[in-house]
Amino acid sequence: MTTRAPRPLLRDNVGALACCALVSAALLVGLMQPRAALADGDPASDVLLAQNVYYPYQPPVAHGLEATLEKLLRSAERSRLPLKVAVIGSTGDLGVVPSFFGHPQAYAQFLDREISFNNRPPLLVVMPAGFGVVAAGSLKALAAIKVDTRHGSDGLVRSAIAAVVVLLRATGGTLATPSIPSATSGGGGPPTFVLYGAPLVLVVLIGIVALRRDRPDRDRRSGDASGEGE
Amino acid sequence: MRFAPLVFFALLCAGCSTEAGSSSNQGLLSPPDLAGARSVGHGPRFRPSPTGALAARAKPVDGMRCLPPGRVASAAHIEVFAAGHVVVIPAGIGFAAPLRRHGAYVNGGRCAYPVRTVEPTGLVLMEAGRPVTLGQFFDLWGQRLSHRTVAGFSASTGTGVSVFINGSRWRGDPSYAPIAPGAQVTVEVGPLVAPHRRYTFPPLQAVASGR
Repeated sequence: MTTRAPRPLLRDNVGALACCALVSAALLVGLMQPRAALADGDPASDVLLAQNVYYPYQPPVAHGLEATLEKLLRSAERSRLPLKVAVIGSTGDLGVVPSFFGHPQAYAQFLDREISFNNRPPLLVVMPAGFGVVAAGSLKALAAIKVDTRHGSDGLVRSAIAAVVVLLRATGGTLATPSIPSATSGGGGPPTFVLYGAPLVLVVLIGIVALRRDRPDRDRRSGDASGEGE
Repeated sequence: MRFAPLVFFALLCAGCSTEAGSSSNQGLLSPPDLAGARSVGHGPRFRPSPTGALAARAKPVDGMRCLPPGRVASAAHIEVFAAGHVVVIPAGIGFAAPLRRHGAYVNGGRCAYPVRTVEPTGLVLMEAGRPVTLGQFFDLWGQRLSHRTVAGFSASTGTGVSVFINGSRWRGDPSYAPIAPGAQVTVEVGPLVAPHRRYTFPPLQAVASGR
């Protein structure tokens, strides 16, 4: 009867570790991707030249909410806060710079450079991850507002309305709280846990496949070792 | 113990996801990224009108006829840079006057060509059928495109117009550059602007249905 020699953990899992290292590197490269992003190419920068709000492509925003936000922005403009608002629901709203998704403040700064000419319009960015603000007051003023990520585009626009009210009041503007229409449309789009969880599941699956492919080699090696021991 | 690397990696990924979802995490983007943003140039040359003389009158353009709009089958994205700034590709290219506007968007016109824009973002919608070239698109737009000129801009002596498709330089005549479904096409005159390789397209039905 033979006894198997204990195997070092590192050597056993070298395939899985290599896989982890490779995917980690790929993820890091992905996170750094905006470095290569030059120029225009995000839809909001073009749309905001002609109107005050950029709405996400999907799901469509309820007309009542659009009207409420735009009326509010007209009030803000009269109170000397001519805000531009970009509501970003997915990477499809970012065109050539999808890696800004999840980074509302960084995207706000990027967008500001694209749409600023002689003046610098106050800018609010709303993403499921939070708010971004440029020249419209402090981001801290919005700390108490939690972005509504459960009702798709409508939830984001509701959050934008709440944020505009807070920013306007923070700058000394007077404003009655607008009545916000109830949810009648939208609500689609993948939930946040799907957006962030899907890549994780994929990577774990890759790791499992790597381990399984590694196993026959190890079994063969251990078989060989057993043979040598006899 | 065998799954120790997996557990480690799952934790790593969870960390990445959490970071991506945090509004407070801005450290991943360094200042050069922001400096790369390009603004629209000043003046009307950087914001040309959407309709050329022929398209405005619903006349055939390069064999394309103006008809009731058909189903959009695919999209591409085009960017134009001149003198280091953005030239806006307007909404309404490929529609005959009068255009139906809604804010920055164009929802329709008297009739539509099989290639058109409904938003000022460079997103070009294409009906199914024959392939389309950059020259045909510029003809619909009513803007010039050659080795030396793009819209209202001419190349300085010793330079020319550059076209990139998915980040690779197109060596032929700019007019013959194909606009393939899903392509990212960059047209430049003046200082080189690093071209993008790809564009994250929105769902086609969300664009084609208008806003």
